[in-house]
Amino acid sequence: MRRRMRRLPHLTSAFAAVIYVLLYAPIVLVVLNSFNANERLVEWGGFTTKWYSEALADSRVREDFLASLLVAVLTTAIALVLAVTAALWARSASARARGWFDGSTYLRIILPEVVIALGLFLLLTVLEVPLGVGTIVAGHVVIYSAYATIIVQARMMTLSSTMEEAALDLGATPWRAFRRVTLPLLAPALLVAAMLTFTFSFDNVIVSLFLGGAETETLPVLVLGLIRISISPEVNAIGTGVMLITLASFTITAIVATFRPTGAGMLIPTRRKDS
Amino acid sequence: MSAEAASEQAVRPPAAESAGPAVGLRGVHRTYGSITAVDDLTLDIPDGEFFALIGPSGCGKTTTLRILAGLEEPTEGEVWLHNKDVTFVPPHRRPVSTVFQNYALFPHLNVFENVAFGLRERKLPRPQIAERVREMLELVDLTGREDMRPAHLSGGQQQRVALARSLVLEPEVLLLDEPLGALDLKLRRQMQLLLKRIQRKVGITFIYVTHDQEEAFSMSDRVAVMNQGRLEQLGSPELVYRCPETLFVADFVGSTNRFPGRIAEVLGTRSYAVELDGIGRTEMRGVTGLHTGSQVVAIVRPEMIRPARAEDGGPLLTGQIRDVSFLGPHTSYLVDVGTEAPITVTVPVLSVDDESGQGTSSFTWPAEAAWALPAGP
Amino acid sequence: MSTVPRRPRRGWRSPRQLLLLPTAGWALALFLGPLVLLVVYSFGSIDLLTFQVQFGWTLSNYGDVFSDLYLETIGRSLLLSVGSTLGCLVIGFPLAYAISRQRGKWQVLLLIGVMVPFWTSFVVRTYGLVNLLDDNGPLADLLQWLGLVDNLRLLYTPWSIAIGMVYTYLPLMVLPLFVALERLDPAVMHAAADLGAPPRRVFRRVVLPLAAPGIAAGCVLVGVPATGEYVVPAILGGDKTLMYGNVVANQFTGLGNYPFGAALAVTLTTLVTFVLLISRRRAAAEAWA
Repeated sequence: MRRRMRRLPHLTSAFAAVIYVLLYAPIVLVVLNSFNANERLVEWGGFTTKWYSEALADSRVREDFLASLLVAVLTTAIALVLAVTAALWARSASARARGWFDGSTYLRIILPEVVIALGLFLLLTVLEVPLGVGTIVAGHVVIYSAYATIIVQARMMTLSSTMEEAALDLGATPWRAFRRVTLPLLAPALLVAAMLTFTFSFDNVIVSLFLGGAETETLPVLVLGLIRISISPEVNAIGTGVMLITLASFTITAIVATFRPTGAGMLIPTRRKDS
Repeated sequence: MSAEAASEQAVRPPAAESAGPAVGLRGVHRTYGSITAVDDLTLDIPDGEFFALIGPSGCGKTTTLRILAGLEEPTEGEVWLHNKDVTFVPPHRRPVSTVFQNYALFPHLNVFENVAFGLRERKLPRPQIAERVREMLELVDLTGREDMRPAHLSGGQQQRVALARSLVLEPEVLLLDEPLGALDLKLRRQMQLLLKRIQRKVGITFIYVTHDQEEAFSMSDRVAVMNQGRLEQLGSPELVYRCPETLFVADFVGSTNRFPGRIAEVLGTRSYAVELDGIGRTEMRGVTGLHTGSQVVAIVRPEMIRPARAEDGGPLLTGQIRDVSFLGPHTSYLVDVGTEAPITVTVPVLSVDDESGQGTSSFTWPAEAAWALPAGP
Repeated sequence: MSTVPRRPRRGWRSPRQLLLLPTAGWALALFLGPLVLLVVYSFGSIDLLTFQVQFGWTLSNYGDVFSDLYLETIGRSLLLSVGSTLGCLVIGFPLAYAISRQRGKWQVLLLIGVMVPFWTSFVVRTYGLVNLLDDNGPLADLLQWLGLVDNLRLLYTPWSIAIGMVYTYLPLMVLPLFVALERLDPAVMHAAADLGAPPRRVFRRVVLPLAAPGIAAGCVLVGVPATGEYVVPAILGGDKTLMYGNVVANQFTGLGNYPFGAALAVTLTTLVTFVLLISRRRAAAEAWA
């Protein structure tokens, strides 16, 4: 095991601690204020849950929540399919082709979202495609399938194709080999990719804003609008609620990813006892 | 001359049996761009034979195996299994099964499920699957480990699971790709015996790929030596060792001493009088088709050279002993006898007399120990 | 031997290529396509009365991009992006370093601790910053109590945008830095100290160079998206401080001036691609060094 050189300089530790506090301060504030009876939110006005009941009662909030949910689920499903097919292709592709592919994946993540969103907006306008859930999903998938692809690809690298060959050799058709061998081994990565995609999609602002059109509004877009108009205590309640959802999904993912036995690539025989 | 007769027998016409040989390769080529992995390979392997494919890395033996399995397609040529053309049949529909170099056990399935994998693909009823898996595990001595995951098994156990997994499907041919490479020496010996025993019991053709000549020799009925995609020689281990057809084969299957020379006279089929540079005229056997005047290289195995006694006729080599290595069961001497390179002489320790340890010594070999080969490019 | 009708030599392997079709199709149609369209439009001109677009090959849009009016916005955006990137670096580096020096469970927890804010709702987080940075908000109270300022005017200024961006992008900087620093073998620093280098020198001559790839990666991961940031300036800048992203968006959704908006977008993309290519070439060159 590595030995640490010496204790971390106190300054660095203190600094890190301060940063952590600052990182969570806005979040804590939002949570606190969601129970703040004082409408102006300038000072503490007593504990209340009325913002929550107001938010839940608001039909617009409910509709937008469902819209966000629908978009996120669709985006995740499509993104996973794209990710798995692309990862399967990449495994047996030439190094050159893979280089181009990886570059384009990276580009989809890095390029400023406004450019992607507005470019799509232009395309859809020119083609006279009506804006709505479908167009939002289309935009989300462009970006988030790239994340999913990276995750699945990384896992795929650790699986040797010999395992699939063994399955074929034993009489499984290519599809059966995929289903019975490759897919189960990919499962942890798929779960992580799904959670990530879902959360990012649910939380997305720019694409949802520009490609939703007049009809479709997602929750983050609603919240954005509310913020710009005025100080809105309802926002804190909505925000805290959404935060709990995304937090829960990510915590589950983190736990699964860290502690689940992977049993990856069983190709190097482990030397136990002679037998 | 059973060795020569055996070599005639090796490539018998395919129509001899009604079902055809277990495996037939006809003019198989496999190229990757400018690289030729397999070059015009043609051979037959009969039923029930333990057949080894040996050669240095990159010689094409693994590619050949994969072509047999259906995991690669030949660029040209045909693959036949028991009179059926399977050249383009995908691997999941071929009646062959492969034991991979790294076993490729499914880590998310336990031993039982691994072995049962192919049976489940055939949609056999559960009780039947259970029965066959049980039998097979008994055959490979793994009863009681059905519930274990591959990660918890030792190398040898994993190997046996891989074997069981393939055999339970009762393939027409079993392909093994250097299966014992990752095991230590003692375990490897045990596994070699086990594999041989199982092959005899099950009775199907085993095709075994390895770069370890000794392993191949100890297990197989016939051996094919490959080099750079081409088949150099096909025959029983004894034949390949005693009567190699090329210098490559001679060097690959054992150590050689080489003596360049010329054919002085053809004495009969494969019998020649050869003028060896620096040594003189001597009689020996050799490959067919050599003419008077052909440049040849005579090879003599180190263990066939022995100290010369005064009354010996035949070739005589005299020189200084350069190096002595005690190898346990034998002792190896490196001797400068005036030929291009020093010769290596291996003697069983028990036959040594003290004199042969120092100073100048004379060596000779019996006539049947030398073998003439055409001098290569 | 009996003969069997020969099947064509296609075999069962060609479908492999088809696997790329979904992703390739999607990316070409919905990623590359829009970009191409933007380029095409950027060379067009628009009649602002009828909103008819003519596709000439005019550079007037680009001319406008580089006019004084917009140059100021562009300049400010770049400054804010660079500044935020540096801010992330200055704050993120010690943080990543601290995490990398922890062991096992602590390390995992701290790492997740940095990521969690990243995973909570983006808009809400930013709104929390609004609350925090409000003139009468908690931060103002704290600083006034500490006697540091009399009046806090942070909100709706470029400063609040910078703070907002650093806050948003910090995890993206910490991750690659952590990965690079985690690989740093303490024995190397031992050796340097052993050879007589004081801590500051060790840092400058050993730690920094080894962490350089992580720094580069982090800067790209932060700097590139930051130049096109829309939401943070929208919320924290009020409507007074606009960044590049807002200006571009306005052309499309507000003013309907597609060609000009396209020109702006293409300029941004070109700049970004340029930076990416440079950083990739640098990374490749170092890999061969």
